[in-house]
Amino acid sequence: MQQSRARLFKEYKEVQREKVADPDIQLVCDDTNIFKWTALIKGPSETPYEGGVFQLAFAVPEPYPLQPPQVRFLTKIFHPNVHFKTGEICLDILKNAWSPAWTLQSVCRAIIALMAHPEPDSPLNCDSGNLLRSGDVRGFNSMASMYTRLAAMPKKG
Amino acid sequence: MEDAAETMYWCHMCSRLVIPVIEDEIFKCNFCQSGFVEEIADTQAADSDDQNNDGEIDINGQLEEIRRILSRHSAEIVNLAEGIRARLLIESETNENNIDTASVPPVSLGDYFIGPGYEMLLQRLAETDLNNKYGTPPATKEAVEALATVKIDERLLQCTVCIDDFEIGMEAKEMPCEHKFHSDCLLPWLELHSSCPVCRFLLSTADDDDDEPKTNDDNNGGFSIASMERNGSSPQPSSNSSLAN
Repeated sequence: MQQSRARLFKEYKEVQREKVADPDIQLVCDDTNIFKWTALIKGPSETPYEGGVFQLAFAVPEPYPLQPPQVRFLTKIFHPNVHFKTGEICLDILKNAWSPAWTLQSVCRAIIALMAHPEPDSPLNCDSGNLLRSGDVRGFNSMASMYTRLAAMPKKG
Repeated sequence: MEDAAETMYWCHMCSRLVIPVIEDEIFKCNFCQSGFVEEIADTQAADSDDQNNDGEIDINGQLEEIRRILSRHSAEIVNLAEGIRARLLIESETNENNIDTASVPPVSLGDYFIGPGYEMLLQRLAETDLNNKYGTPPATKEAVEALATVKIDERLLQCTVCIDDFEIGMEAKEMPCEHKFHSDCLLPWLELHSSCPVCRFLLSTADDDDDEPKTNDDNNGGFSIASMERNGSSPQPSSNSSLAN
């Protein structure tokens, strides 16, 4: 408990320093609970998520960093490895390949990498995975960018 | 309404069968008023292939999907099963509401799964997931005790578990792959897992004695950062095994 707090506090200070270094990630700690974080990440360029800003919710378990944080998308996203309704993310480093050397910041980077490189063979969103698996890249891009526009971009007017 | 009685409509917003309201020749869902309503094939046509594509419960397809996913991904199957259950609830609700119009699906998954058996299935799948989730097995006591304790003689070296910098002259535990950590940081991790936090070098585990060699490659994630690392410049367990002695 004490260790996880100390480590999260370190990460908090690190985040303040890195703000300028990585403009694609904005990590914010809950005002009253250091185990709750949210992040805003920019959709990677040259993907259907480009131009969108996606919100992630982090719930850090007490044994952190021995156990991975639970992360999910709060912003709706059409992606094979993200559950369309719950925002749950299918990513090895958040499960069996977790290592305490990962930080909340680097987890955000991994999620951005996942957005740019979907893995349709282990889909949480089967519709999305099936489009890619059947080679319908155009259909996938069209759906993904539609949802980016609908959910991840500021409303006009 | 005569039309609606013969044809089934699926609302993509509500994810359920609906009786659409027709306004100015536009079909609208009677629940959410959206226009995202699709006509689905006449169920009386009894063409099972058609039904599969039209939102009807396709038990073979779903079981096939369960089987396929089970081999890889138990977290998903729980999800899938929950999804199927949610859908069954919706279906039964729809059937109650529209008893005159909606024809009952020929076979319901509920006939097979609802009840204690279904709960047990979910339970078992959830437990299987727990085993998967935690990655490599713990390192053996012998391997942990054999770890070298070294004095830090480099500047700007960091323990990646607590992200604190080492001070020169401080004692640290060194893995065979030469990655160094505070003893208090490394040992709790090795009680859970045998891998180096930085490069995934594997210490020997209790499982190594088993007849069946275990691989560390059960990919539980959509995108394997771990395998990218392994293919990259990080030290590989195999190439480093000589250092273990």
